[in-house]
Amino acid sequence: MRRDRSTAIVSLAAIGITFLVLWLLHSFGGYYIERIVIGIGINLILVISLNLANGFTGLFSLGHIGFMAIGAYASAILTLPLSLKSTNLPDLPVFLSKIQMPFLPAVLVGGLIAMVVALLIGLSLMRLTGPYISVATMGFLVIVQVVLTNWDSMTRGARTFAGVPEYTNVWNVWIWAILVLYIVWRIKFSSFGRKMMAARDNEIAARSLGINVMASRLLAFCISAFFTGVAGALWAHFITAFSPKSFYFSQTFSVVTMLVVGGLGSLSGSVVGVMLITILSEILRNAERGFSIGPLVIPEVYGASQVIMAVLFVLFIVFRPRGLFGDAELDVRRFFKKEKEVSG
Amino acid sequence: MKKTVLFLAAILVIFLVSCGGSGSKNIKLGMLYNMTGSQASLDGPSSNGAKLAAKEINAAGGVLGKQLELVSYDGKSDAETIGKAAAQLVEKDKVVAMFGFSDSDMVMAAAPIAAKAKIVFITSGATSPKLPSQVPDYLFLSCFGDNVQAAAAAEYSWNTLNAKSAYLLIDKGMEYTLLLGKYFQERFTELGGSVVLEDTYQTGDKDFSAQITKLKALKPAPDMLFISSGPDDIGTIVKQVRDAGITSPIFGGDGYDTPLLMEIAGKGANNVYYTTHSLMDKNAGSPEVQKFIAAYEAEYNTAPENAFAGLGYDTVYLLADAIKRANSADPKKIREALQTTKDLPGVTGSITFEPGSPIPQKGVAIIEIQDDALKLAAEVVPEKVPAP
Amino acid sequence: MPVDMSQSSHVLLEVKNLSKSFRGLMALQNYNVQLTEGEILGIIGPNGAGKSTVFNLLTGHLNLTKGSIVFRNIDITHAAPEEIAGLGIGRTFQNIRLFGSMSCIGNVIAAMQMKERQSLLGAILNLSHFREQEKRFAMQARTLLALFNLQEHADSPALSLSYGDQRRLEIVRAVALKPRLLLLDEPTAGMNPHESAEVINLIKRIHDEYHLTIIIIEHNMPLVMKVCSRLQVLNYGEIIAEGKPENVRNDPRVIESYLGRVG
Repeated sequence: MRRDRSTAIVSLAAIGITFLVLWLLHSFGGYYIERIVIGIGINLILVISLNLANGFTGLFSLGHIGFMAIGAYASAILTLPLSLKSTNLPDLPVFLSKIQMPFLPAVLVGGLIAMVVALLIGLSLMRLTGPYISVATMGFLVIVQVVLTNWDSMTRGARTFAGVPEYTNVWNVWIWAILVLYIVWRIKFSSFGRKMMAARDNEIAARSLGINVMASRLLAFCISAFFTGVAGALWAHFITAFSPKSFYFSQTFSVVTMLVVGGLGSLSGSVVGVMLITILSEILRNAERGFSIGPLVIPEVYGASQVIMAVLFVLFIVFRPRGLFGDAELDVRRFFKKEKEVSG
Repeated sequence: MKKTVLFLAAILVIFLVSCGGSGSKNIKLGMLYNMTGSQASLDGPSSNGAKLAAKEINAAGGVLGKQLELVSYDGKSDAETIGKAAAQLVEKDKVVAMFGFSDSDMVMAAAPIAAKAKIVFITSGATSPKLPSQVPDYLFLSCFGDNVQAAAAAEYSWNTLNAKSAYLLIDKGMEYTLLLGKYFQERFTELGGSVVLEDTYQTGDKDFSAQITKLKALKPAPDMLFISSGPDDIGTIVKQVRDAGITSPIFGGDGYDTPLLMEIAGKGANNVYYTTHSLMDKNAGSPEVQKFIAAYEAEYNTAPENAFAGLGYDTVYLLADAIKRANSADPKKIREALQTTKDLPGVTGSITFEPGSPIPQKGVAIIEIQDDALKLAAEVVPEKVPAP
Repeated sequence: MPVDMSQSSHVLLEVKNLSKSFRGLMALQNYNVQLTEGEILGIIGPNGAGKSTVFNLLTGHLNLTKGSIVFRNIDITHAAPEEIAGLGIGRTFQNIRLFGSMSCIGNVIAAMQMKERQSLLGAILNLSHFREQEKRFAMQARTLLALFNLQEHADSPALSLSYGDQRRLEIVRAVALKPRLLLLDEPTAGMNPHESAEVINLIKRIHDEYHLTIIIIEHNMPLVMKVCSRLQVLNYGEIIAEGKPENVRNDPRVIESYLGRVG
């Protein structure tokens, strides 16, 4: 009982502090900081939901950015102002050309469509294991890419889809991020999460205990796709102009890096991984423009940030293949306790 | 665990320190190019050209008695990064104008942020004439639009090559190639020509035998081929078309302006025509071009890689001219002066903005490849241009 | 052999002519068994005799070539492993199969939740029903772990346990499924005599406390003699002897094919 209450207090305090920090950054940080903060929020949703699929079930999907694309395009089409629809998307089916949805329902529809697609492909994909699932999901990503570039009437094909209303802000992104973190956390510590992880650790044993491996993988895949679709929608209303190639391998690589650095299966790891990589690459991006320390002048070297990040990633994989956290979670109470022991 | 947290805290501190702004008395222009990633081959030369222009202007005394300072960030061919860089230019660097990029997606990631701060954004290389309407009042092109180069190609084909029928091959994977093909078809048929077959492929395709088979089956064979392709695929396409025994003229847009075309297609590149911003050739180019090439070689120890170098160069001169005529570095006055630019000479042709049009009136260079060499076949100002 | 008890209501498992061939090679041939509730059956035989194949066929992990399996009057011949587990057959594995990254208690709870479904909404909203259920799981799991002297390892990762403890944890996990029939595949493999003796006692204890019917595959003859009411001897995929332990021990064919070599 006391454990329950203290967990609740710690969680609420953490949420409170998060929003206080967000408010401070929003009020005093300026537009540049705000864009970073929104970017972190969206990446949190992407990485946490990818963790639900890849970390919990052990089926390493490389196709999730396809769901992001589905969410982004769905929400963008639904919210595009009618005046822009007639010029930018003249061949839209009638039922779509006449509606302009508000933000929240459009985001939810984007997530739902991604989830339905996940269900349809999951029914066959979830039977695969190991590298096969990675290759197959990557195939899905390529298919999404081809469909988006060829479905001119809906997506403008390869052309830039511009004019998406800029609805995304610090608040709606972070409310979603915390909601997703909370839901996935609850799943991890329930029978659903245990089934997923049991099937990941040992499929044969899991089945011998009555766990429907297929169903639990499908559940993870679908929920994960829903949130990835939501993140895609939020991203669409943040960047406001994109094309199919915005949702391809480089985006996949960026999200997978954050996930692996944090640790597959660890939500604390995902949070730390996103923050660490975003902030580190921001520092390096600014540093690569050249700087001076006293008399020492470092000239601009564009591309250095990507090279350093890639080298760090390789070193990280070699020396800490299970990521910062493995699949353990950060326990705030234990952290404080340890500190007391050290100081006292 | 504790170490991790301390590490994160340390990083955050360094980060916040590094965000501090810096002030100076120069006129600051924000330069956004993708120095890395998929766009680097176009944006790298553009950036070099722009820097060269700024250096020349500053050596000649600067603008309004002040030095031009180009504040640049690498867009990394990534929309999120570009958004952040544009925000930094507005907020931290307080630039008075921005320019850059050769791709619509990239422009659209930065221009709305400039517009929000009431700063103009000039794209030096994104040729989509549809772009400015997406960011009204603040987005300008310093290059010609695709409708202009496609119209020039159609008129030259009809008038000079005497082509009455054309085969059209379009890369479906890019906005640029889609629009270019569409504009060509519109102007060519308007002139009286006919497009006998329209076919497509996808960026990165390596085998064009299916398309070539259909092309060879055409009776009578079309007078010309208009192949709307990007720089990465055109060499391969031309080689395979020529290997199949088809010798008709091949026409295309400024995507052909890459050394790759002649490197990959070899002899097959002969009888290929394309529209571009200028002929970057030490001997065959215009006097402005020859002077530019010499200066570029002196600065970078290499000839300009392509016409995009000239576009970056001209864009900085365009902004310098506007600031001079505005007699002020106020963003609003710069925008007003920019709109009244008239007959400003440049490496890629002279620039004039008609009232209300953010796309310049610019001549189009038609390049012809014969005897394994590039030749300036004509400079065309199209009589009529398809609507964007 | 308690033939007189073979009334249908007491028969838990009825296996007829069970056969399995791998690419034409007969791993098991015409295996028959009838198990009444409360029995402890031992299956012995040399390596590769087909003992584990019997288990894998019974639990659906292998598809049989021929034969039929009826459990609690339900035909499970072609059922999937998770369905068979749901009907009440729990098992351990010859090469231990724990959920390595999960804690010991997590391993046990993973088995318990078979009988009690949760609602996704309840779990996400952390409803009181869900919280109580989780608390009950944890309490029952700790009780079970304590039965096998594993309580102090409850929160450690399963793979951090010693080999013997891992085997015992696997048995706890199978028991947590609340099965009617428990299949133990070499429960004392790799243990020293002291540990083995302890496990034998535990098996007897759970047999009594949870009213289990058990089949044990074992190499350890003293153990088999001690706990089993009946023995089957397999060799080359066929039953070569069957009966009370003391009778089987003296069967000349068994001595020749199996015990002889060991002794």
